[in-house]
Amino acid sequence: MDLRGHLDLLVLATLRRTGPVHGYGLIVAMRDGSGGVFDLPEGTVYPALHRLERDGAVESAWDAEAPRRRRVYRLTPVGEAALAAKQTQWTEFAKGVRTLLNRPRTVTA
Amino acid sequence: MTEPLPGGPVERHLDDLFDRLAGTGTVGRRTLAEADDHLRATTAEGVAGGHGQLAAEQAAVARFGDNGPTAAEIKAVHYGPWVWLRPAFVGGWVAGGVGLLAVGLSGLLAELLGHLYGPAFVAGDAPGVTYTAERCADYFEYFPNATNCAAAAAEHHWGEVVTGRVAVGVLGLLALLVLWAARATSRLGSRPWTPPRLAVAVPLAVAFLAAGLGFTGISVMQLGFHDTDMVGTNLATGVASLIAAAFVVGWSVRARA
Repeated sequence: MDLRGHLDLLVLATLRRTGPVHGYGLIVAMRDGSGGVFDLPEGTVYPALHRLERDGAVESAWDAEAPRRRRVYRLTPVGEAALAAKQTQWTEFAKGVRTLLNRPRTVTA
Repeated sequence: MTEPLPGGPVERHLDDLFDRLAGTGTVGRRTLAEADDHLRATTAEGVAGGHGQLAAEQAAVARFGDNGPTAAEIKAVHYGPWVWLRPAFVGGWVAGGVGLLAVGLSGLLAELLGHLYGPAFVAGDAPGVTYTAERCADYFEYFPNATNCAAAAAEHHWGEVVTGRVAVGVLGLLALLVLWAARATSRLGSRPWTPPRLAVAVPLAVAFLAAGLGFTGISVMQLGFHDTDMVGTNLATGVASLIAAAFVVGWSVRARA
């Protein structure tokens, strides 16, 4: 499934669900949480995480207890607010699509 | 956890990513470390699932995807033009607003100096300036109580200096208020749009200090040579610039504390 345009929403929503997590853990949570539907090229999640961090929506730090260098990401209050806004937009969008798809076919004479 | 195969799929993929991130410094090292950790974890998952090391590495690399778009996006996030254009826009707005506000302050100081030392001190024409009868009549129409044409002209110029500069100051205040409201209610207030405080404060302070010393110095020299041409205006500009420089320095020091 092409996730372009929705990746930020999915990353933020997954981070809220998992709490602090590293990139690989986030991707696994996203894949498992969606029942395998969101199986994206895993490398694409890192630019998204970097962009969200630049925008203040997430923050990250090296995990000192990990056996090797591992970056752990967490949601910030800015990210919580961004997630709420994106969630509202998505709900409205999905409602519109559902309404459109469910409209009965108009028969013209 | 096993090490990647020497020269195997994971190592080759990391080498490729390293090449594509060349020149990105800390960002590149961080991305490479994240990719390394990611590929090792995915490989370990594959091995735990019963695959051989080579097959697990191949699967891990395939799942990670092409390095080209990843590296390009990482570069765009950290080095794209928007990274500096957005804070530069807000910084320019702040600098412009504060600059206009300083002009307004110089107008208020010109008003004060005019009351203390007379309109001629603020906005008197150079000695020896002559006025046409028509121009003189214009000045007297607005200032009938002036003792002579030069005094009426000074009153007129003083009003222009004060009114014009105060109007500019009000414009600056409005610009800053609009920015404050926009930052409080929109993405303009988010971190990517926020310039480093020193990046705004240092150029502003230097510009104000240079203007302050320059105009104050000119007005002091004028007083020394008994040159009355706009001496009060120059003095007001210099003092207002020095006050603005002190304000900007104080603002940046408070922020660092």
